[in-house]
Amino acid sequence: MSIWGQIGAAALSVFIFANYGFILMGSMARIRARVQGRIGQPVYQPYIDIIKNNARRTAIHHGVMFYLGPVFRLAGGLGTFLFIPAVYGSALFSNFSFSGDLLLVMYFIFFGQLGMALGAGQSGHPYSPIGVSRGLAQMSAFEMPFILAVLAIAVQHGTLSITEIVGIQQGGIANWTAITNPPAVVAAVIAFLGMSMHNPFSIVIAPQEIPIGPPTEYQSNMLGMLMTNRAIFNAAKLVLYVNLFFGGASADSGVIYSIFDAVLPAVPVWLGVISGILTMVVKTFLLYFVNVFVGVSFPRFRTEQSIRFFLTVPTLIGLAGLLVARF
Amino acid sequence: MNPLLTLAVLLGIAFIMPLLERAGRSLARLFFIGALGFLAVYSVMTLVELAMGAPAVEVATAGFKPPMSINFRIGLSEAVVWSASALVLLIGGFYMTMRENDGMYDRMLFLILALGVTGLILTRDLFNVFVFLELASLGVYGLIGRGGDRSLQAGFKYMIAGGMASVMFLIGTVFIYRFTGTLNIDQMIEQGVSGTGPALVSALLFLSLAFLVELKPFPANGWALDAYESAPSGMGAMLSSAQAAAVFMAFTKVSPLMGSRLLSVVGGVGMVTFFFVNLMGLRQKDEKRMFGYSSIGQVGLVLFAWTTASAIGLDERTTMLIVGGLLLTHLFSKAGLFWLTGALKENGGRILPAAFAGIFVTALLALPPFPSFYAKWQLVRILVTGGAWLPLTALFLGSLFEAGYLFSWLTRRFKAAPADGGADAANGDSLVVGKRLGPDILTDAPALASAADGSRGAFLWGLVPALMLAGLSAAWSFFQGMLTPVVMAPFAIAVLMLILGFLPGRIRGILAVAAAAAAAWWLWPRTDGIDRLFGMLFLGGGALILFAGLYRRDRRIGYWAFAPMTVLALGSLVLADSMMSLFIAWEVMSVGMVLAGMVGRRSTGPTRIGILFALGGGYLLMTVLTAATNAGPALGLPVILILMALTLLAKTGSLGLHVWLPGSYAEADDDASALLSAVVGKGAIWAMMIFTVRVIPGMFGVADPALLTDMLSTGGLNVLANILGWAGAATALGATLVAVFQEDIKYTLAWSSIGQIGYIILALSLFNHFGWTTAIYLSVNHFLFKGMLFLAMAGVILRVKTRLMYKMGGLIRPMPITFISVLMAIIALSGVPPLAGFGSKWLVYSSLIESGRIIQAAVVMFSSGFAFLYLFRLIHTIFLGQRKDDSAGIKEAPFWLILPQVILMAALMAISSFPTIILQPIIDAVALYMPPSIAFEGSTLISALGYWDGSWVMYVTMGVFMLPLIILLAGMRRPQKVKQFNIVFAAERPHRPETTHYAHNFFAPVRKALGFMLKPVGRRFWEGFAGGVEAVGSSFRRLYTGNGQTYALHIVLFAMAVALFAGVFA
Repeated sequence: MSIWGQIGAAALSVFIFANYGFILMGSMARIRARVQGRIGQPVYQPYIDIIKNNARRTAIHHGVMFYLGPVFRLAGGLGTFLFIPAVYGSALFSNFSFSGDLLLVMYFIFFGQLGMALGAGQSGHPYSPIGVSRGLAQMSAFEMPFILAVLAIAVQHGTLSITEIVGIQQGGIANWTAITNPPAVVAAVIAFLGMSMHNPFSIVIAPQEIPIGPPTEYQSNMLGMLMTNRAIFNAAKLVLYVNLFFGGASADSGVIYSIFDAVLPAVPVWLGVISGILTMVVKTFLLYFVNVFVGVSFPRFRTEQSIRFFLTVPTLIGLAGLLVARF
Repeated sequence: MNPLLTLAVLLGIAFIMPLLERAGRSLARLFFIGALGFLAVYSVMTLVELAMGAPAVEVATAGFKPPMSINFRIGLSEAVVWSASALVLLIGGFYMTMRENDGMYDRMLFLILALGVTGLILTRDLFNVFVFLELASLGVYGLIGRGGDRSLQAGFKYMIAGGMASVMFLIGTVFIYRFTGTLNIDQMIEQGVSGTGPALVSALLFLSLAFLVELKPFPANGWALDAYESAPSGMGAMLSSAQAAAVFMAFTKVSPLMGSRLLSVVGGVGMVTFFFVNLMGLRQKDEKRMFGYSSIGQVGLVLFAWTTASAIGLDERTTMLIVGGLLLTHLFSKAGLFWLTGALKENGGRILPAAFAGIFVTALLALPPFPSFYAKWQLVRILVTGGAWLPLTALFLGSLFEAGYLFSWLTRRFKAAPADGGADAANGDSLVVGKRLGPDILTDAPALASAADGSRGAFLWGLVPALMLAGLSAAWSFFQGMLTPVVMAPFAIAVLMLILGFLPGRIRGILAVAAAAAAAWWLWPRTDGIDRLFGMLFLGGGALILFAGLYRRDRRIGYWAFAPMTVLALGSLVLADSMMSLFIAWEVMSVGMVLAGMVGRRSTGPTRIGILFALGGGYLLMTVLTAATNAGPALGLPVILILMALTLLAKTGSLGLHVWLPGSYAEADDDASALLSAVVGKGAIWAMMIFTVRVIPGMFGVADPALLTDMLSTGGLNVLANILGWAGAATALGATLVAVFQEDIKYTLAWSSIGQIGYIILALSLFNHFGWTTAIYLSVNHFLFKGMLFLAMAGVILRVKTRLMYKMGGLIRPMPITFISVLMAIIALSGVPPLAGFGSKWLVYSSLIESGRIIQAAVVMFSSGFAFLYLFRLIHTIFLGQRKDDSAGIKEAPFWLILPQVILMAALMAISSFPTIILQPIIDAVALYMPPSIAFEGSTLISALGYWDGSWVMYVTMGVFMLPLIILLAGMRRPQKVKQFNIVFAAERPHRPETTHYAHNFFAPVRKALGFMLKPVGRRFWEGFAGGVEAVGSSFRRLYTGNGQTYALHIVLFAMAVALFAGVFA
């Protein structure tokens, strides 16, 4: 594929998954509301927010870095997404995953977070660094089980290439990491709860004490940018998880593909890709649902509590995952 | 001319001194100095003649031949010691008349002492030795006693001890005469002491005991210490130098008579004395008594060296190299120290005296290039190859003790204490570049000119000994083949810079930069592979960081001498072609590192600990390097590897051995910290690599460089490598955790450096191509970002005048370039793509996983995540948030600091965008030693596990960054930049930046959760250890009651103990 083709494909991929991210956010908010006995917002509320925010122009700013904060954040989200192959076996949706392997994605996640934290820092608002301090502290702790899970995969599959990891898991549920190495996946999913900053790990954006933490001073189109990122970034993390632990999504196999295969005489390539996307949507939706499920069931941890939590039980589970991978 | 004339002149003038005094004091003084001058000139001329190849001078008295007469002989060794002693006596004579007692009796006694010393050195007659011993002692008792009440007591105690020694000498002489029928020593040796049995053994024992007592052995030396303490400084100088040297020379003449057992007992006494007196010296606060401990210890060492050389029948040349090296170094440096300190009335900074005192102390500690270093090297070689581990350990420990008290004395005496007390300084809560601290010798020369009025010219007393030491150093270096430009360059630059100390700091700085750059240019074509990569890092990088030092306008006498010395020593290290030159460069680099740091204002404590660790590590390394012999190493491979690893772990500040490092880095001058962390700290990494592929295989005569690395990576020594890896991983994690909780920015960076070096050690411990490529790449990266960070912080500290982060804030506006530098550095350090730091993370993890070090990989991945905490804190609390009122109106850092940072930023961007430009040379360099396991395909680096394309990562990142930026800019409608405090703050407007800037104790929850892991176990261990050692030393000091009778009893008991060991009672 030519460079322009690649850029076009990436844009398409981002567009699809950003929209999916918006819908996911809206639907999950609605589900959460229902659990809590409220009616909740409409599913399309994120679109309303995005359009509204982007339509407004900010009248004030706090300095150059303050400006760059949302830029960094969105770039981080986009980059993370673009370094992950979204649909296995589809050149169109493999993005720029040839630039680096799993380690690249793991570290690129920090790009946006760091830039955002810096931008928020320049606002001079004390809530921003308080939120960042909590967020960094919690992040450094949930990294531990996640790292162990990633290492378990690397050892088990003998590769760090995400495409190859997905490839190894093809051919049925029995090949998924979730089945071949359950402790590693459990550790990773617990870490995912921390990453998503829902309850019980929502202290970072603790709405009661520090309105929304880092983005306190951001409004208008800059807030819109941050919200866009949240959709893309969520999607990226979900896609990564599904790729690593739940068999990914393939353009030429899987349940949805076999339905198409059964109905049609020959599945065209574009339909295969669509089946892959649909597979990804279903899997990520279910994965995200774990978040919501846990989030509505538990109260919030204080930061030091979540640090201790992540460094004990999930870490031990992660170590068990390593052992499973080794032997 | 007959040498006897010297005796006649000394004696004659001593006799007519009362007459001369009548004629006028000036005349008396003139004759006094004239006599000593004659002695000096005559002895030096004799030495020159002998050195030109003349035969030994034989003198028979009264026209008879020996044994009918007393004969003198002046061989080369006698001439050397004689002329050295005579020079010391001459200066001592000046010193006494000009600064201390200038009475008639003093001059007479002094001449008698000179007479005794001369006779002791020259005579070959046993009874005559006794006579001169008595004469010298007479001079000593009298001169000691003339300083007042306490001196009188000390002189009397000395006389009791001397009397006991004389009695033993006479008894021994009588019996030996009975057995040999002669008093001529040569004849005795020639015919051999016939007969055995207790009587003969006793005779020799008495003789030895007499010499031992005169040389002040432990524990029968309380009287001598009292004498050192209460005698005038000038007398202390004579006692410890000329008199001790003369007695020792006399002993060397009779030592061939003694059997091997007795000799080994004497040697043992020497070593025991060296060990224990240095141990006891640790808590000694009185300057003169402390020098006394050191002197007694040094003489013990000389004695040990002599007996060891005799025992193995060492050739004369090497014996002179060892014994002469130790003796002469001691002679000049101790005399110089006594004079210098005697002449200096008060403590505090004076440049020249401090420099001379530093020279004397370093010479005593046997650092290169002093003769004592070469002597110690050869002595250690003998001990190592002979497997004499007990004396070797005693030697090293004793030397460390000596270093401990001499260096703390040096800093105590010559560094001005902080004017506002140490407690405040200890927690970093005081101005750093401000005016609240006292002046500092090595940085604030002009400020001190007035403080030194009382002791003006005191340095002159150190000048001659220092020049003598310089000459001797050149001679010994020449004998050892070390007088080459590569080995001597670091010393040359240090000396040159000290001499040019009168020039403005910036001019000397430019010279230093030019020297480092020239050395880099010179080194490039002469090296290849790993050597060239590291050579460029050391010298090129060193030049760059030295350049930043130009931001300071003051003279910085010490920094501009020791910093380029350290940098050039790194160059010498890379070019070293022998074990000795390698060690010299290593030692100069280690000590230079501490000295360059010492110029920081509050670095006294860290300096002392740093020196001890540098020396301790050096001794381990010396053991390894001296183990090399033609017949293969004297040590087993595992032992060599363990010693080497310990040396290098201590040097890199690995967890447990790190206690010296945070203080040394943090308390050094701000640009010196950059030099130490970014450049000098890498010396150990290079060394560890070269040791495993070149030095150690060379010792075993193995040509294949990969043999050892294979054994370490996958073979039988894999366990050792794994332990090393754990040391690295634990260091990375531990240091990162500590860094998170520092409030002082320089401590944050110092701990961060320790942690980062932990990663490098871990990668290196893989001992395969992938691991080493990683280690070198990490080193280059660490150089870039730590250089940027430390230099940026130098600028910040210069402007805001504090090192405490929570006192800063909002500096992004006045210091934008510094901010960008820090931003890039922390992105690189944290490993966030697209900067080169990610490459190092990718390499570390991939190499570890590939080698099966999974848990270690997990540990460093975790600690790498943790590093974000301190990195964000660093940039946020300093540059973002609310600006403090007192940092209003500050400017960007000076050009001198900015330029190197800009260069480093450009280099970082270049290697981030095109990793091949640095990684390909590294891969190729390591491939010289082991088969490569990673390679580039185009711009993609491919390993067995994964891949990374740095260029594409950069393109994609730039793309996704530009897109939102353009959108944002396009949608901008001229927003207004609001003023400070204009924030949504619960509908209130905050008033003070102090209450709004969230900075202090930034990670309180982490402290709550993980604070229990931060106990300073390492520091407590070493403090406890040091305290214990000092307490043990102190307890021995209780032996010395000050009571003459007790001292006499000590001598008796000592004599009995020696007799027991010598087998008299057997």
